[in-house]
Amino acid sequence: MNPLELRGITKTYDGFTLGPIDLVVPRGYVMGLVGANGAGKTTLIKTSLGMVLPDAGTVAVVGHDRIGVVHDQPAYVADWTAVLVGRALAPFYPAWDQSRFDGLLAWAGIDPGKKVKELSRGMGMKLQLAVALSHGAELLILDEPTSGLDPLARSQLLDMVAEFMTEESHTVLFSTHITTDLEKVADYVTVIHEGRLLASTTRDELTEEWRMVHGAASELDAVRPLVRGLRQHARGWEGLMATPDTVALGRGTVIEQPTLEEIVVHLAKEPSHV
Amino acid sequence: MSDLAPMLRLDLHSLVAQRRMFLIFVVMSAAFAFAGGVTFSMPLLAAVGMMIGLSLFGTAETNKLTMLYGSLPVRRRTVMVSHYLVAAGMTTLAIVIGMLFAGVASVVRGESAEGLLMSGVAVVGALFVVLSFMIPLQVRFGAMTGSFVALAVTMVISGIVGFGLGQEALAGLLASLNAAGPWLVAGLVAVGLVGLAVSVLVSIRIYERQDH
Repeated sequence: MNPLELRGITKTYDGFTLGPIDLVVPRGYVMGLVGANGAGKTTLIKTSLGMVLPDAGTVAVVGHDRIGVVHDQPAYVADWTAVLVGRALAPFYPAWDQSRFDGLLAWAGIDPGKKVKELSRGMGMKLQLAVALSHGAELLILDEPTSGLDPLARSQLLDMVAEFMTEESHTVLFSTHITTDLEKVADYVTVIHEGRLLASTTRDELTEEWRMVHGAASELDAVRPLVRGLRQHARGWEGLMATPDTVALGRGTVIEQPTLEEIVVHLAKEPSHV
Repeated sequence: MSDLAPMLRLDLHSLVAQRRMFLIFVVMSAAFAFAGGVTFSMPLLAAVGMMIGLSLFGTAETNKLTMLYGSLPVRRRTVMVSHYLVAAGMTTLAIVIGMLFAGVASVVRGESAEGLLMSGVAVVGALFVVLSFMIPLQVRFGAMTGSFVALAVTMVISGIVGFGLGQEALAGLLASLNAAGPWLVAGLVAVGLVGLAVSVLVSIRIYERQDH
């Protein structure tokens, strides 16, 4: 059984509708959930955790005692010390490993006596990760964990995710708008934009399915409907095209394998003229 | 309810932020009791007891603890039951501490401590009634807005009762209530407990339908 499956999820707020969304996070893999701010990533994650109640659809997820969660900011009492965070949360988890928690605090360089409100953003995220990794979780849900972190802290956090994935039954759902993070750790990528799922497949398939195309203005009319995120400029145009659609393009066109960021940006944006 | 024990511990840990308020409360209770006696300190005890009872909801809101609860293996109804138990327990504890000071102060001041226990129990019962009214508003509207709504409703009700009955009738009513003695106190506590039981069901219903 997969650790997380969403079927036909919809949720409507004033001015924003999520879904309908079907999403399967397969066991043993890292699923990256990528999209701009406000795309619906956090709502989707909260729906997965039962914190947001969907208008329609079903959520099948492993028990919360087997889920480690890292929110985009620590949801602990600001006056708690790091050691008190562990003491307050340990009773919820039968598999809580205090020595593991202490070890992770040491790895993160967090003084156990330091208060949550005194921690930097990076330290706060690492503290959450320490909790998430100390109770035998098999599903890790990370909501924008690297946003606002310096490169070193980001790298350390991604290393911890990679280490978590050395156990083959472990699974990660990792939301971010920083696509380079996903290029380092994600096996699957789900692209979400304005509440809709634009793509959900393996990272390699996604980058094989699309091509960045730079062409002359004279060729544009023939392919315009096939171009996603079309951008016109003085020398011609550029945009994203499905790989099979690029076969018939003329020799004057430059066809490249896109980065994950180019795919996300072009799938999401409307055509523009410069 | 195997998740109740860890949730209770979490709630008690959450009140760590209120420890300065507790300390101030202890000092003030002692000072008022020694300076003014039992009668003088009871209104203070009631006010502070209610503040302490409700402080957990303020702490949860300020620190966005609903996000934490949502990621823990704990049911929403357990969160509410635990909040109520801690709120009622802390209110009772606050009154007990205040009464101890008042008792010691009455001995030191050479005053009679007669009626102290009854007064304390009556205050606890009255505060349970207030909490059973206030907590669902806090759950529904948040700590700040909920307090304002409760204050507004209380003022409206007080105004209607005050103007509707008139000063003399109100004084007569209070006198007859006072004469009822232990039965009144027992009734007040019973109403308070029933109120909390109904209130927790209402709050669970509200909380289980909220997005966090």
